[in-house]
Amino acid sequence: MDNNKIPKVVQEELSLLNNQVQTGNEIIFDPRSGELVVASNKESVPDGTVITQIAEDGFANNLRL
Amino acid sequence: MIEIKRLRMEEQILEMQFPNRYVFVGIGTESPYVDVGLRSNAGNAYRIRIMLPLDYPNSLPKVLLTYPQPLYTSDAQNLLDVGVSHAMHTLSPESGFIQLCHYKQDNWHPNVTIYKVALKARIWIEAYEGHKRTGQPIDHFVHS
Repeated sequence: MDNNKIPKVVQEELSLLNNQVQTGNEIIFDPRSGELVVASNKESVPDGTVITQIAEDGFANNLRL
Repeated sequence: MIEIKRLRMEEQILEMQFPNRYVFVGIGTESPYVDVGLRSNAGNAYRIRIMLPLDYPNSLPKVLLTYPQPLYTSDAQNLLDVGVSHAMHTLSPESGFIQLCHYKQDNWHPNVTIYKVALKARIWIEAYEGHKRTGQPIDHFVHS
């Protein structure tokens, strides 16, 4: 498995994103494998969807639903 | 009733992004939904059910995690019993399934697709596996 797909690497990137730490990386969904990939640019994952913004948008606060 | 034109557009996107891993069920009934199979980076299989409101896409769907069941927290608590949890980004269980938080009401608009809702669930799954690995709550990995 590529280093940028290792679960721990992806989960730590999510955590850094959650804490607004700028890493210069994006998290990209690879439709070919269904995996999340940490990459410095989108071109490294052809047909991938950058999910960084989707993650940054946050999740519903249940107290408001 | 959900517009067929909209559903076709949703299907085209899902076919590109989740080929052969989704199915529309109950379209034209009172309880339409989309089942999507997802796999974490560790290779674990999950299945989500995206419940489409009849006025979709004007209001946001509910997302249930239907497989695997039961799903446990890092301290061996059944997530169904956890129920509504800000830390775990879960809502009240529905139909015996865990309900996941996804889009905030304020961030929802009719241009958001089923595909993007499924991506939210995919992120939740990776955060859940991070929780299992570290013991940190899901909101350590994704925020509100």
